[in-house]
Amino acid sequence: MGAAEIVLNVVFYVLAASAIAGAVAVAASRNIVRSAFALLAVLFSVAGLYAVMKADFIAGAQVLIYVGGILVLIIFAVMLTHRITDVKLSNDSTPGPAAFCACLCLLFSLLVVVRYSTKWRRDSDTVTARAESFEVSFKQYQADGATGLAFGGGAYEDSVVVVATVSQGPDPLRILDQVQFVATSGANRVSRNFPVAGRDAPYRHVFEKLSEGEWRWTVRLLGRQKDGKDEVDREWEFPLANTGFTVTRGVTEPIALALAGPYLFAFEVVSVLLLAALVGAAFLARKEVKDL
Amino acid sequence: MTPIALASWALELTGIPVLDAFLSILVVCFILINFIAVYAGISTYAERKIAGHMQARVGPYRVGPHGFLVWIADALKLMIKEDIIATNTDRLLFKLSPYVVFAGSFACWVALPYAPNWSPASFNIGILYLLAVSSAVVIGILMAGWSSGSKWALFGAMRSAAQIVSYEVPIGITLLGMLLIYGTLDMQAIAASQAKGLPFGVMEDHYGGLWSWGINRWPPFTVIAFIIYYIGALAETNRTPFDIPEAESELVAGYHTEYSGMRFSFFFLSEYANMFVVSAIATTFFLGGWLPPAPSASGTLLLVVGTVVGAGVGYGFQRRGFDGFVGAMLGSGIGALVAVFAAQPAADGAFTGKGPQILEGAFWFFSKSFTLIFVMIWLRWTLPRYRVDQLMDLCWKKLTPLALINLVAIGILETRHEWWALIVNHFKAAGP
Repeated sequence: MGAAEIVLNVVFYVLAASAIAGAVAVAASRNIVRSAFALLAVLFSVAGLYAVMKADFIAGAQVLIYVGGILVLIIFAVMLTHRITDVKLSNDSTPGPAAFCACLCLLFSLLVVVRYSTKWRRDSDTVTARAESFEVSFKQYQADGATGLAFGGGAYEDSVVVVATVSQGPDPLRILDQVQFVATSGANRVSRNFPVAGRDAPYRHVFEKLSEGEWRWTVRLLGRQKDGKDEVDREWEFPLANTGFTVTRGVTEPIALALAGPYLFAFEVVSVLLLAALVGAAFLARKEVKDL
Repeated sequence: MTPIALASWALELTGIPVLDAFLSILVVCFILINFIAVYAGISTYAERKIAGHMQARVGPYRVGPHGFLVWIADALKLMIKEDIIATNTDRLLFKLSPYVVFAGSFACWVALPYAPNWSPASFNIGILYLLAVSSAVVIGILMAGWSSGSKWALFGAMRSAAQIVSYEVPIGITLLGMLLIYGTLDMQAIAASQAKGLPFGVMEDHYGGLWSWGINRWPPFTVIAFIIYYIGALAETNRTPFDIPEAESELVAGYHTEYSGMRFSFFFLSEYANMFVVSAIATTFFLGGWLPPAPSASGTLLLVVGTVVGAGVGYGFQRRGFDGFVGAMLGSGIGALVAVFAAQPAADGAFTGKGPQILEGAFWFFSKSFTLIFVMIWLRWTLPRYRVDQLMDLCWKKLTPLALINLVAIGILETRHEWWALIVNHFKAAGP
């Protein structure tokens, strides 16, 4: 685990703890204004959690909309309500242990559903290529598993994990020495060599800090071949079909493309809904003009 | 190289990478927070001195040469003052709010592009982050106003929150228009993309110096955008003529009426920190960020000479009075344009931020930002205060529609090639 990863883990737990503490304060505080202010901690921590998950745009939007807009509105409403602090808020009628058990059951079922319905790591499909007597099966996914990556897709983060399995047919004339992963993007070229480790052994490598752009994978096998009587050094290259992918920094562009593309209609419908809500609010808040 | 990288390089002493990572973040924050404190101190001195000179006084004069050290004396005084907490306050929120306010303005400082490729934290979503975290200030102000248990403080906080939330709308819309031009949210990329191009989208591959800056991109509209942004920025930082949240004649001191000593100074610090942040955003979006006004080092000299000579010639043509002023302005503009063109052949890739250009870039960034801060101070001692209804009227009935029109205009101009192609293709398809 690298230093950055440890920092990220610490940050995650601190943020999660402060989100939960804030939520508890919202629910437990007797003073409703304090509850409203405790929401600040919750919303900021959740934004931080988004940022930890590399969803920077969502984090920014979360703070901008919830803290800058909705929380201010809530605080205004709470502060301006007449004698709101005098109201006795108490949940004494709720039986404590039973409520606790109910919450626990709910939490447990939620966790179970999340555990089994989430696709935690989006692997790519396995691609197989064959040359002479060798067969390479090849798979890639992203290091943190937070955002998906498939063949021909995009990676929103810069580290990509590649796994390849090399199997050799019954051919004593060809001897394998090394397996080489190569990722190319224009003039950029990143490669990693592995010594051969037995039959059908998986070779796994994390490519970190890939620069932005279109990338393509190839796997090369370096070895020797008995050619008549001499042993010659040889290379078998496996340009795998459909292994291109794009590395992009940040999620702003994919979100923009999604909103202006497949989700355009939904987006517009939601804005019409908001407009209707606004008109309704203005109608309710307007002053009655009475004829004299 | 970012300051983070520098700090972690200096701190690879422990040899434990995790500790180094945390330490480097701490060091960067330490440097920044001290910089803010010193900057805020010096700008309070500047504010008082400028106010003095504008009102034909000398301003602070006792401590240090020309009273220059008065800000240190002020800081010491604020630190040793008694921390008074009135009985009617909500103690927890009362104590918390100065930190929330200060955290909101401090968090903005890490995302500013101080020099080419040099920000404490380089964000992909720079401007969105800046707009987002600065909203913590509103919450802090509301917290301070409510927890003080005083009607002056509550009124001040209400006015301030209403004002900031309202003025975020025209500010956001104008910045959106500028983002259409740049096509990125990254502050560094925004600054860098103002190196090339001339007004009206002509000669897009040429280094135009100050003619390539955002404010000159589509002249009437980008200039209007800058003015709207600057007015909104004044309102967001509660500066005159929009300082009704702390109107002395009505509200004692607004939301920080009940605060004293160190807690009060946090509000003060935050106000000055915010002034720098909004000026820095204006600099980055409209005035070229860390780019110099001419496309090369020798060009800057040429630009100064051209401007002065042009101004002199213009003044000579028009003699004196208002005509002389207009002549000088026109002359200096023409002189600057000629100088930038004359400097074209020497354009050295105009500031891609390599090597010693970091210092030069920081110089231009800070001088532009401080100029805008000076204008804020100047306005404070020149203009009277708005009334609440006038302020809201200006925001919702004037600035917001204007900003929307501006956004549409810039959008059309930026996509003019596509529109043109659409029209041409339409007629081609319709023709014989």
